[in-house]
Amino acid sequence: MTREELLDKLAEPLHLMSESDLAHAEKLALSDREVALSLRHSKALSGFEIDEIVGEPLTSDAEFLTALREKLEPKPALIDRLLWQSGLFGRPRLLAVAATLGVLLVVAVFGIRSGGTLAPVWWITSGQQMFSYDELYLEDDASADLDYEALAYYMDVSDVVDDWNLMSYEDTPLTDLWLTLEAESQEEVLKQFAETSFF
Amino acid sequence: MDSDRRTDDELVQEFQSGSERAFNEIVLRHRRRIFQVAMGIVGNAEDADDIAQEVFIKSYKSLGEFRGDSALSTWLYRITFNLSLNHIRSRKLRSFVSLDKIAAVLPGGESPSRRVESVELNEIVKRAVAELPAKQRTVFLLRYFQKLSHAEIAEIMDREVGTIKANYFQAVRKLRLKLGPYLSEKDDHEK
Repeated sequence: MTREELLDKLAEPLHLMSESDLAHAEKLALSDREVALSLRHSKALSGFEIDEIVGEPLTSDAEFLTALREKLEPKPALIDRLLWQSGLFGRPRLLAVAATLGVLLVVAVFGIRSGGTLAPVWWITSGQQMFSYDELYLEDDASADLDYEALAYYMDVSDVVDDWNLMSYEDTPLTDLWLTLEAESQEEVLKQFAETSFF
Repeated sequence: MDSDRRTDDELVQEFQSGSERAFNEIVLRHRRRIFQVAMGIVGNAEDADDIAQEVFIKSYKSLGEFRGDSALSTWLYRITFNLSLNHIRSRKLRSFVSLDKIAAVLPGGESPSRRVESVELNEIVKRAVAELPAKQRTVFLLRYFQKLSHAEIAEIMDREVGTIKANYFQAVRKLRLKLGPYLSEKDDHEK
């Protein structure tokens, strides 16, 4: 082995050197300063462990494996959990979701029937409900200028139209009548009041 | 079955047959070395740990198609190397540890013997390795401490064997220049 070849070998990890090469290097090092330095450096570096050079992992094996498994096995999507989750609450939860969807469907259907307000019938006041029925069952023209005679004709019940007219309410509320007492009546009331004895 | 007696190839075959435990064994067997390789390149323990996680996530997805053309460790190191380089590119880290930090730790103007007294030798070696260019450092660590052949390192780093050898010898030469005085002094003290 030449000197240059020996120097190259000394640059490699020491454990790769054969016993004979090592003996040759030590013999040559007695007279060759460069070989002596190379041998010394090689021995010194070989004494190190890689942990001493680059450090150790921050996490334990268990922590590392747990974190890795969590990344490899992501939690199932919500719908999958609802459909496939077993155990005590799996089936009841699924039923609850189905019931909720059913209620929402009913609400949507009734909302459309109530005149497009998307509100269910039982949320609408009686006035709104009548209006809604008018809108639904009468044609646009009929609802635009609705009167009792036209309505009765439309519904083919013309014979009862007089009764409907009688049922119409007074423009002036009844309570207002009571508040406008005639002067005589007022005096009579005051007189009766004065004659009234208490206890 | 004793997992220690199974080879990497056997573990791979078991994983390919559906054994998750086999994959756990692969992880526990190789995670430390993968961390060390990543650490040698990116120089940050947290990042190296994250890279190790990524390596196993990628290998989990691809191990089903692993044919064993190269050793499992070589294949894992190659993934590690690529992910570490990507990491460096993304963070624009140019060196293992900033040279300013190293200079701040190593006192100047003192004789080597005084420095050996004040700083542990392994810290000096650590910093000398840290100061190597990334490629030379990676090749040196893989060769010297992971005990890989030049051909294996060439496969991992996707370079010619000659290039790897050149990088390695340059790294050794630089280390000798930096460590020479310290190692000589230490040796003299021990005599």
